Amino acid sequence: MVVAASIVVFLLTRLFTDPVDFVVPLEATEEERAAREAELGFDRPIIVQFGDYIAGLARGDFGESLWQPGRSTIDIIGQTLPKTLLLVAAGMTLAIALALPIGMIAAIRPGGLLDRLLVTLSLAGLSMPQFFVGLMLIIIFAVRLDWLPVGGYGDPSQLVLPAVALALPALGRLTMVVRSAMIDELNSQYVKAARAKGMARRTVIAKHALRNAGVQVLTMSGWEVTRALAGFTVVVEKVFAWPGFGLFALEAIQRRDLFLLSTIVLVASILVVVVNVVVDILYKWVDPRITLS
Amino acid sequence: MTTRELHDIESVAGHELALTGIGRGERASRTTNMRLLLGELRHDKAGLFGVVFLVLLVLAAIFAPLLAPHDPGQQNLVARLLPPGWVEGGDWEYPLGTDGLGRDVLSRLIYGARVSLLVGVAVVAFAGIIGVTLGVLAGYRGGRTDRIIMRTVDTQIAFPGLLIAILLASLIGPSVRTVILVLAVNGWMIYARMARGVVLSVKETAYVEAAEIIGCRPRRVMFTHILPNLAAPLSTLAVLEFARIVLAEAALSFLGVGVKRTDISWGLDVAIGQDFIFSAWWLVTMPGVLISLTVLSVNLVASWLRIVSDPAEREKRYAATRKLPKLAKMAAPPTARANLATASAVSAAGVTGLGPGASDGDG
Repeated sequence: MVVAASIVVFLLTRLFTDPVDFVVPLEATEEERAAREAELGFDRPIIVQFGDYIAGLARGDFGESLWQPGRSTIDIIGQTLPKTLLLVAAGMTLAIALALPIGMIAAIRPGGLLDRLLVTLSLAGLSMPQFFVGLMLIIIFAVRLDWLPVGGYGDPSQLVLPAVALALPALGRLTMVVRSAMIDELNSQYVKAARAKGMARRTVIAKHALRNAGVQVLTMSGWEVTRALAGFTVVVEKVFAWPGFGLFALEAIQRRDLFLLSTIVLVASILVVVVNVVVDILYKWVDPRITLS
Repeated sequence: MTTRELHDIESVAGHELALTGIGRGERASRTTNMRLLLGELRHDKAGLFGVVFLVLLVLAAIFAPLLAPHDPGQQNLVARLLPPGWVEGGDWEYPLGTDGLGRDVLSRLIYGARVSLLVGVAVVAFAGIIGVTLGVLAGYRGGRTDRIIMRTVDTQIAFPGLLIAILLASLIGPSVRTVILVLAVNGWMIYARMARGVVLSVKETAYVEAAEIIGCRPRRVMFTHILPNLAAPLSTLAVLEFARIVLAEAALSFLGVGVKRTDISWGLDVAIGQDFIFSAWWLVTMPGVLISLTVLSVNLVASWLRIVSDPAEREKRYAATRKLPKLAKMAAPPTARANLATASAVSAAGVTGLGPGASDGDG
C-alpha cells in the first residue's frame, strides 16, 4: 500500500508532464535538451524507466533529485524530515495537552456558560483555515507586538508561532471530542455509582471517566498526527518559511522533481503507517480488553 | 408451490403496496416536519446564526453584480492600499479598503463567495454520487466487488491526501474545474465507507428480504429500499464535507495551485495579501475572516442537524437545558406528553430510582 502511493506519484508525474522541461534552461537548443534527456534516462520508454525506478527502490536507491542535481533524495529527506517531525511533535503535544483539560472542564457542566464559551471557541478554532491562523499570529505577535520572529528555522523562538498555528485547529477538534466523550462517560451508571459511594468528583473524573474516554480521544489524536504528517504541515511550513519536508514537497511538485516527490510521498505514507501501529499499541494500554491481532 | 406460500407472497406484496401508501402520506407530513424543524431552529441560536449567514452568502453570490460596489477586477492605481473606511486615512468609497492594485476588497469578497460555494457544492455532489454508488454496490453485492472497491478506498485513504491534491492540481493546471475534479477524486472514499456500512446494516432486515423475495431487481432494491436509509447520515456528512471542501479550496488557492491567478477566490486573495502583511493587515484579515465565518456557519448547521435528527441527542439537550418541566406544563397532546414523561423518567430514574408516575407529577 505504501509503495503503491509512490508508484502512483511516479507514474502520474511522468505521464502528465515532461520533467526535462523544468530541468533545462529556457534558451536551451534542441540538441542540449536531447542530450540532457538522454543523460537523465528520460528518452527511454516509460515502462523501462518505471522498471528502473522500482529496481532502484528494491536496492534502497531512491534516485537523485532533479531540482538539486547530485543530491540523493533520501539525503534531502534526512535533512528536512527531522524539522517537520519537530514541528509536528511540538504542535501536537500542545494540542493534546490543552485539549484534555479544556474538554474536561467543558464536560463538567454541559450547557453551562463555561461550556458554551469553550465550545464556541473550539468551533471557531476548527473553522479557521490553517494559513489564516498562521498569518494572524504573524500580524499580532511578529508585526504588531514584535515579540517573536516572523519565520525561519534555527532559534527555539522561531518554533513557537508555527507550532501554535499547527496546534490551533487540531485543538478545536480534539476539545470537541474530549468533551463529548467525557459527557457520555459522566452520564454513565458507573460514574454515578462511584459518586454515590462518596468518591470525590475530581477523583471520579480523573480516574474513571478519563480512562474510559481515552479510546475515543486516542483515536482522534492519532488521526490528527497522521493528518499533520500526511502533508498538512505544508501550509504552515509555507507561511512560516519552515524548511521541513512539506515545503520541499511543494517545491518538488512545482519543479516536477518526480524522484524527490515520490520519495517524500513514500516516507509520508510510511510515517502514517508507523503512527497507526503506535496508536494500536496504545489502545491496549488504555483499554486492556482490546487484544491485538 | 403450496397455496400457503402463494398467500405469503401475496401478503408481502400487499404489504409493499401498503408501504408505498404510507410513503405518500409521509410526504404530506414532511411539510409539517419542516415547519417543526424551523420552529426548533429558533431555540438553537447558534444554528440560526449559521443558517442566516449561509443564506446571506448564497444571496450575495447570486446577486454579486448588483451588490458589489465596484468591478472586482478593476484596478485603480490612484487608490492603492487604502485601509477600510473606519480606519484613519480610509475612504468609504471602498468600505473594506483596496489591495495593492487598487481593487475593491469588498467587491472581491462578494464575488469570491461564488467560487467557494460553487466548488463546495460541486465537489460534495460529485464525490457523494461516486462514493455512495460504489459504497452501495460494495455493500449490496459483497464478494469480489466489495473487496475491490474497499481495497481501493483503503489504499487511497493511506495516501497523503493534500500532497496528492497539490500534485494533481499542479499537473492539470490551475482552474476552478481542476479544483473540483481534484477534490472530488480525493474525497469520495468517506461516502463509500459510510454507504457500505449502512447497506450492510439494513441488508439483512425483513423488508429488504421481502422485496427480494417478491422479485424486485437488485437495482430497485438498492434505490427504493436501501437508499432512503442513507438520507440522515448522508446529509450530516455532506454538510461537514462541504465545510472541509471550502477550507481545502482556500488552501489550494493559497498555495497557488488552485484557481487561476485571474479568478476571484478568498484563498487567492489571502495569498496576494500576504505580500503586504507588514503594511496592509486588512488584505489578509478580511478574506480569512470570511472563510472562517463560512466554515463556522456550516459547522453550526451540521451540529444542529445532528441534534434534531438524533433522538438520543435531543433528549440529552432537553435534559441539559432543563426546559422539560416548562414544556410539559404546556397543553401538550397526549402522545407528546407521554414522550416527555419517558424522557424525564430516563434522566430522573438514574438519580432517584422513581418511575414515570413520579416524574409526571413533577411536570
